[in-house]
Amino acid sequence: MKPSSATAPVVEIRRATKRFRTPEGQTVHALAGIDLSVNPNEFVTLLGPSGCGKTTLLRTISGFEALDDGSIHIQGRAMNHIPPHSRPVNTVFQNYALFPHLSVGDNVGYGLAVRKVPRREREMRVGEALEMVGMNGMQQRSPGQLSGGQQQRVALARAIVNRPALLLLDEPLSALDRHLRQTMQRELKSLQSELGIAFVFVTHDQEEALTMSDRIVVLNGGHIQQEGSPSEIYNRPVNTFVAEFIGESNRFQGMLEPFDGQFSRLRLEDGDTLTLMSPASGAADALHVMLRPEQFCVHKPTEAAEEYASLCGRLAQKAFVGRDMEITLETASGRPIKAALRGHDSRTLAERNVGDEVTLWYATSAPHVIAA
Amino acid sequence: MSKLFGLLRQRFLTAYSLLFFVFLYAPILLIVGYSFNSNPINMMVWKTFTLDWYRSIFGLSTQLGENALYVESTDQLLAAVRTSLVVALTTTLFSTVVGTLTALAVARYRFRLQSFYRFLLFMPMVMPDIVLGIALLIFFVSVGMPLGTGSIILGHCTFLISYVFIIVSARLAGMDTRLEEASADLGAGVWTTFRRITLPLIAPGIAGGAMLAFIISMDDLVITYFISGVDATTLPVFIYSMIRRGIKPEINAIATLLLLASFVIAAVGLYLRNKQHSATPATTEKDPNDE
Ligand SMILES: Nc1ncnc2c1ncn2[C@@H]1O[C@H](COP(=O)(O)OP(=O)(O)OP(=O)(O)O)[C@@H](O)[C@H]1O
Ligand SMILES: [Mg+2]
Repeated sequence: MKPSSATAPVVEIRRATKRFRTPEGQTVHALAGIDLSVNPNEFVTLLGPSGCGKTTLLRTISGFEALDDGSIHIQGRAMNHIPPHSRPVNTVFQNYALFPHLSVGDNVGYGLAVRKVPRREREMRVGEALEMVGMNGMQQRSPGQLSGGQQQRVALARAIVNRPALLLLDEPLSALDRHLRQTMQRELKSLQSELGIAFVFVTHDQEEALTMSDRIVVLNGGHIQQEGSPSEIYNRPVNTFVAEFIGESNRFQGMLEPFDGQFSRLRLEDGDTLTLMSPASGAADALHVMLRPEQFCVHKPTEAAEEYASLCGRLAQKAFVGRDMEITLETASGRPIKAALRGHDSRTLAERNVGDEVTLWYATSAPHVIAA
Repeated sequence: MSKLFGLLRQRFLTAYSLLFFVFLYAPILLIVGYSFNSNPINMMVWKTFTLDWYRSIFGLSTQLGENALYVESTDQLLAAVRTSLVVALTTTLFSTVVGTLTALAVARYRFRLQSFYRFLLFMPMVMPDIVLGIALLIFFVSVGMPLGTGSIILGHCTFLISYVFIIVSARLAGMDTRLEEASADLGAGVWTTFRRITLPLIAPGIAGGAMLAFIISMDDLVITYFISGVDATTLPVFIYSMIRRGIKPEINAIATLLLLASFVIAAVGLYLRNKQHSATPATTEKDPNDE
């Protein structure tokens, strides 16, 4: 690897376009002009609903689908006419795709054997790779003799043993149960920082995306909706799709009008109002404002530096889900407000009954204004 | 009460399965038995045990009187066996290669009229033998091809390719195409992927197709009868012409030997299949690391 490539992006995708003709005669725009670059040692997650083009994007990077338009460069080389087997990329397939007729050792060593790596070195590297995923010593087993989680680890070892510049992972954890999945999430993340390989990880599980990624790319309908760090995506969604897709949220739509000094008021269609810090671009247009359930509290902090505003309503639902008390409040106009309360707030609410009047407080800096 | 009923049911099932196997195997066992009966006039009346019929078909000296012998010429019989083997081996080789390649092409590439092509490949399997035999005869005669071993081989290939195609296609359909993608992803070119992944995975299908092709080719009478001409005679055609001149005890011996050969082939096939199965058992073990 040339020293300059340490900072240059591993993959650069420009205006990637892919259309499919369905048997029904329609055209599906699986990728509608995607621009994306991935830096060395970066963990990028593609997140989006089913059918949004995640797999298609991965398959164009690995070379199994040809782009209709646009370009893909890997380590500075144009990939448009390079077949899959000549690309410095490895994939962990969703169903693992382990070779059933080969042992675990031969599965992991396949890429090395194909590249004619001598047997000695091969066995050593296979051992190392299996060690990394905690499976050393199982070389003789056949894939049919492994549990789902073990197969997943072997698939991972089979990909990383080749030391690719980029590892593509298509929902590798979706077949695992919740517990194993969380373990594997941690292991995958630490493995990635250990190896220094760039990962492009596909999931439609937003929690998984938030915990693992350096950067999240939210896709919908073949378009990138937003790209940014997990906290950016979560706290400052740029549009309503992202706001709705990531986490729970309360969305308000109304006209913004100036209020007391630095504050503005969002007048909702049904007459309710929401007080918030005036956004930088304080246009009086119709706006969307988002408030996360966990941004509410019952007890207004007494020594807070910021101003608090309140919303009143009737307690319509409450459910204790462990750490949080999840409630739904119904305002006078019948608008449901979701809130998740913790600690002291949660205990207070435990004594209230459905139907009681409740006041919820939120910091005026909390509401997030979505431009469109 | 229910215990008694259960017992009865079990008895009934045992008796039923016994009868079933008698039904399946009695005729075959009779032939085997008759082949050791020294009665040359009426094979259904047991006289004494003899291996003479076997000796006779191999042209060895027997204690039978000259008039008791029916195989006019051992050479003829051996020539028929040789023709059969040549035909069967050549057709098996050819139809296995062509059938497998065709199955791969149809399974892996999209082209126009694909399902019609599939249908065309399926047809020879269900076409009545007699129609195929007559059609082939007329075809060979009209293109001026001499009838003989060559025409038999060509004729057999026309429908055996279909058998191999169907069997290998079924195997390919059950194979996950992502395995081939995984192989390419790991750096293997098209040929390496075929050799290391596709071929080993469809090998049982290919072997099954080849075995079936061999057995059918060895066994075929109707089609071969039409297209064998006068010089080349396969074993089934030879036996058939022997029978037309009356059922003779040597037939039993020949049939028994054929039976033995098929059993050997079937046993080898089953053995290979089981070996394939035990290589990838479906058992899953829990690993302590998982918890
Ligand atoms: N070979 C194909 N032929 C026709 N349409 C296709 C093909 N492959 C994908 N599509 C379509 O392209 C779109 C994107 O598919 P893709 O597999 O990339 O979705 P995805 O984001 O991976 O979804 P999921 O989360 O369900 O895996 C879908 O509408 C799908 O129906
Ligand atoms: Mg997908």
